[in-house]
Amino acid sequence: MTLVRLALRLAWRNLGRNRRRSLITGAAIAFALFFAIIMRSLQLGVYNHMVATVVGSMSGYVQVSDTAYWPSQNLDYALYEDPEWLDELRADRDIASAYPRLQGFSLLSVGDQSGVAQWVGISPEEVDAPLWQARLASGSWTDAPGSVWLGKRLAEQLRVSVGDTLVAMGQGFQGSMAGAAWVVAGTLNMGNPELEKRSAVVGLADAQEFAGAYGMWSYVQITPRSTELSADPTADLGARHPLDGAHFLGWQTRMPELIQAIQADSSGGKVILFILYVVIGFGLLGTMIMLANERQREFAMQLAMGMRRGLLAGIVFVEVVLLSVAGALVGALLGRIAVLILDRFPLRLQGDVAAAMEQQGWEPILPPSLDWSITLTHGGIIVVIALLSAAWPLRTVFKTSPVHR
Amino acid sequence: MSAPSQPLLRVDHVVKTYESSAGPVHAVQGVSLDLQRGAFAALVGPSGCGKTTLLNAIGGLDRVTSGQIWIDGTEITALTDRETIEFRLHRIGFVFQAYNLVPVLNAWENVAFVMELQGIGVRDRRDRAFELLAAVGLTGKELQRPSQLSGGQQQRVAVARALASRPSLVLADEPTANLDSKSTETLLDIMRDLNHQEGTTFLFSTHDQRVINRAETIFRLEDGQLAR
Ligand SMILES: Nc1ncnc2c1ncn2[C@@H]1O[C@H](COP(=O)(O)OP(=O)(O)OP(=O)(O)O)[C@@H](O)[C@H]1O
Ligand SMILES: [Mg+2]
Repeated sequence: MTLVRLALRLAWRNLGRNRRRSLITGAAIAFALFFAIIMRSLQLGVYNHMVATVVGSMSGYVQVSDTAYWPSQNLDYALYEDPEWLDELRADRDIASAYPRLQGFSLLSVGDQSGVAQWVGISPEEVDAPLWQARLASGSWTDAPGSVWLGKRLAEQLRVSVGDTLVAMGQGFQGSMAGAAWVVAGTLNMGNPELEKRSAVVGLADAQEFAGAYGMWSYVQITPRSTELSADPTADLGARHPLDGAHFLGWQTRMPELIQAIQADSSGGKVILFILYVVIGFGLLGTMIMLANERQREFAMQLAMGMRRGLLAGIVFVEVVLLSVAGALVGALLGRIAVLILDRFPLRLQGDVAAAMEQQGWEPILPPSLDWSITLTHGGIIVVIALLSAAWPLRTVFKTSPVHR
Repeated sequence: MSAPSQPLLRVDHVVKTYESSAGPVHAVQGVSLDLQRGAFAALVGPSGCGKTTLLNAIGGLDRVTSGQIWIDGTEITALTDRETIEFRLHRIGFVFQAYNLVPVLNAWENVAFVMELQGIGVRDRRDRAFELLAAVGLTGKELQRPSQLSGGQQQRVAVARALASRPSLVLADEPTANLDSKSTETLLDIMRDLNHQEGTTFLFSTHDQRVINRAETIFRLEDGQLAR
């Protein structure tokens, strides 16, 4: 106990002994972490933004569907409604929203214009969600039966506007003929050109009636509370809320190309950080070599007095731990503050890139990821690097002889 | 354990040969000597004659090539490394020519350093350290760091520390080499007083005639051998 206290006291005071060097070393660690956090947060934030655009609103982060539904997305593999199970899902604290949908394909025509559309029947609760409310480009939301809202580009293609009636025809449940006349109640910005070209949104009840799939859902679309890339809650949720004949599919499984594209891009960022860490690592090593050389006589004296090498090594180690953890805490704090500021006032892209993104229906901003795991991972990496650099003075401790001259 | 006739220190045919790139260096060539309890002895001789080498061997800092060393009935040349460290910690005090003190500890903490390694409680350490600092004339300097003390004051702190855990033997390798004559006098007075008061045995090396004059017992070393 006395020895531990002695070690802590010596380690602490040693830090103050070359205050400028300790500060610079701590600052280097803090800066590296700060930079890593901002860079990674922006990068992962863009991916989140991308995933949110591609799947978040439409096909969903997680889908619960009949085990045979994917990949054909055939209307025949629909689920029977289970309102109790749905309530249970919605009560889960890890789930932000869960909406049942019925979905299929049909031909839409007005006069001599026609086009293929993916119709989606959404529940009244989903219509009320801010997401759909914000999407309205023209018209309004109404619960009048037989209303349809078309993706902006689909409406342009069919040359229809609010109030026009169109005819939908296609295959219903189990090969039945499906047909209906729907009135255009509005047009929608879908935040994604593909979706704007093919989506036709109707009420869930209208969809069930159209397809003859009464009391059925194609899938339940779930948005988890945390949509960070690092956390995929699919398996967990599936285990917690089993449904006969159904399974939970994350977007990662449904859209392997998307996750592959993200991983490919992400490795570029990792290479940059790797280089940063190598540079910082060598810087730390240089500092440690200096420290070891400066102290060698002192090590020898203390060993001669009867100090154990292990204790001496412990002092050096604690010193490096204190320094790197303090540096990492400062870096983490500053990084977090910067990320929160960037979240509040996101970077806005300018020029051609921005125009291209807007054309694709993306808002040209770089929202950062707020995922704590970024801070933890990189904080951990930098502390480990610092501790590895401590190997040099530790080696000196074990090589120094107590012989004085 | 030790009979009255038994010397505190017995060095028996000690040989230390260094292997260097230019061939073996015979630093100590068969030295034998006895030192009585309570002695105040000097090891003298020209530079390079082997004083440091012999003191390091006696203090268990370095292994001998052959021969035996006994301190207070323990054959230290037969101890394992770990036992040697323990023995040094409890039985031997060291004063070196320089770099004696831990720079980040103040005077009393430096004096208490060895006691702290021994696990002695803070109150006892503090009392003993203050008492010793008073004995070496450093009352009022207890809280100063080494960098705030003169070279002579630092050496006095080192002497106080060497005595702190009441070792059987204090080894001092040219403790006055960096000091002016006044500080040298003061340090020798202090060592002599402590030698009397605490009954601690001192063995120090020097080539300073003033220091030699103060010693009770003198061992002359020439080319690694004792001269009569
Ligand atoms: N590690 C070593 N390797 C090789 N030779 C050494 C080593 N240490 C000391 N020597 C040699 O051993 C001899 C004795 O050295 P030592 O340091 O004991 O002398 P000294 O009497 O203490 O001298 P000084 O009065 O200058 O301190 C010298 O010739 C020295 O060069
Ligand atoms: Mg010497």
